[in-house]
Amino acid sequence: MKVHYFKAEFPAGKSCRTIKNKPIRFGIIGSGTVVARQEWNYNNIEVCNDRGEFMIQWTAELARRMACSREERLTLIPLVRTFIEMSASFQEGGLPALSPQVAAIGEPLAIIGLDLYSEGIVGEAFQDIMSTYLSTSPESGFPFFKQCILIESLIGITEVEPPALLLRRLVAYFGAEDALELLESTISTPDWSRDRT
Amino acid sequence: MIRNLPGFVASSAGCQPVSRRKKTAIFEVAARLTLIAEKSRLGGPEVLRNSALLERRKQLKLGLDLCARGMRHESIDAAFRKPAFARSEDPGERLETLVIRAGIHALSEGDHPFLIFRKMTAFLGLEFYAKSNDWLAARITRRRKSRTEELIVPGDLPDVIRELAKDRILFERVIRTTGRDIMSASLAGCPRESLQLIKPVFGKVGGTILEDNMLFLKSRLSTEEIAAAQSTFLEIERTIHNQKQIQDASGPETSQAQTDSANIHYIRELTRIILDIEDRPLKIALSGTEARTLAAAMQGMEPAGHERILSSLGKRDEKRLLDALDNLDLLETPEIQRAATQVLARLSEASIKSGKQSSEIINRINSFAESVISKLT
Repeated sequence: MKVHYFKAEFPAGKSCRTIKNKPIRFGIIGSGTVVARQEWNYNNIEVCNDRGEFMIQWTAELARRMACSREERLTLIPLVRTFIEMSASFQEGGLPALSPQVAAIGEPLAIIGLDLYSEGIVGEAFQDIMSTYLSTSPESGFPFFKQCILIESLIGITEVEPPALLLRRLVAYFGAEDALELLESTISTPDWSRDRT
Repeated sequence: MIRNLPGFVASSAGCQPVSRRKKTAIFEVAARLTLIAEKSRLGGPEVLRNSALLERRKQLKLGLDLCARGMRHESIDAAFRKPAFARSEDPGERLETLVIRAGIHALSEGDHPFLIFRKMTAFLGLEFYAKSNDWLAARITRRRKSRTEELIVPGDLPDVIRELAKDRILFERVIRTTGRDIMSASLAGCPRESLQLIKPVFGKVGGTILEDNMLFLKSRLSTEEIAAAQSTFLEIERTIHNQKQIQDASGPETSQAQTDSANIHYIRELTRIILDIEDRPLKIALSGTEARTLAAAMQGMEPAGHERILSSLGKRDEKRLLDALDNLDLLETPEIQRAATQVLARLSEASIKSGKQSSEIINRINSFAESVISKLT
């Protein structure tokens, strides 16, 4: 299959529904550059942030594994808000503040992730190990989607990302239709303004 | 996005489940590779060469041989892509190849044996996590206590660590920000007491990795290199300490949250005004505003506001503004807002003069400017 690479700049606050006037299935909110691979009926999409790091790198297989209904996805919005709060409490109280909150969520994969982080496994090694666990997880659909959100959050929190950046990481999973609403409704998170300025 | 997730998910697609019995056998292979990695840390490539000669499993034999010859990532990948490994129909064998390849990659990168083990056993899934912990705990128990002599690089670090350890939260934050690699190199020139204070932060497994790395580096780094790592640690400690002092001085969390919330509304309202105003008064106002003032005000604006302003300027003014933005440090909120009041005053004046702006916008600009000024005074 021939693969075409192309880039498209898009402004902040606009959902990216088309690239070069062709529709795409996934969108993202926030300023950045879309690098899309025209392959698998536009299912493979890579989105970089301003620093050139991948915010989203979507493949058809990943999209298939995560596929769940909009209603299911929206049930995780309170959890996203919890993660934003957790990131603030982690910055205040470190690992001891985070551990009970992650334990309360009751997802074994997140508990293992925190365990590995507490051992000092960070950065690429941490992400690779968590990607391996996710890819070998027997889950698919909504439970898999939830696991991805949990691990994505854990990475952002432990890397002490500003809440605004963490939020942008997470809203991207919710698709263009709901991302803007989620972003706006969570905008009053502490530290949001610091990141924006 | 979680690094490598799409690739890992794609490569695991369509894989048949592997029996627990086979996974247990693969676990044993991973443990064996970890033990070889431990020995090779002391004995070097010779250990890998000898282990490769004795090894029966073809993937592990190949991997060890590649590592002994100093091959890195791409060469290892290329070797494991050979049809004999890559095209196996047996799901157990495919999984074994993935596990060994991950281990060999990590070994070639010089990872600690326990980290190599963690990377490999992740392929076996969550149900093998507890077993991995048990295996690591048993390895730690069986180890002999190191009896190497202390190497003390003169400096403040041991005193700083002792003092820092009194504040557990700050202590942990500094150590985690520093990371285990710099920490290990720094500790290579510290008394044993410093290591004993830091080890518990990383738990039993992480603490052992820290100590091993410290001992490993002690014999490999020069005094200058250790001193450089120590000054990096001290720099990080100073930065975090100063940040904490600033946070403590700025009052309780609630007032910070209130300030942040107020800032959010400020940024949104200013951006909306910039977006809502007509082209002509905007252009007039911008042309009469100094580039530095405009750049300072733009630090308190959403990117959409930046785009509107930049697109309203001519080429020369745009370049001037972009230069001003580049040259400007991150300002404190009052300074940003003072610059914004000047821009708002110009906008209000230009809107009135142009006669093309609705009174509603003019009123919004004026009342917003008043509210900003009242907070500044």
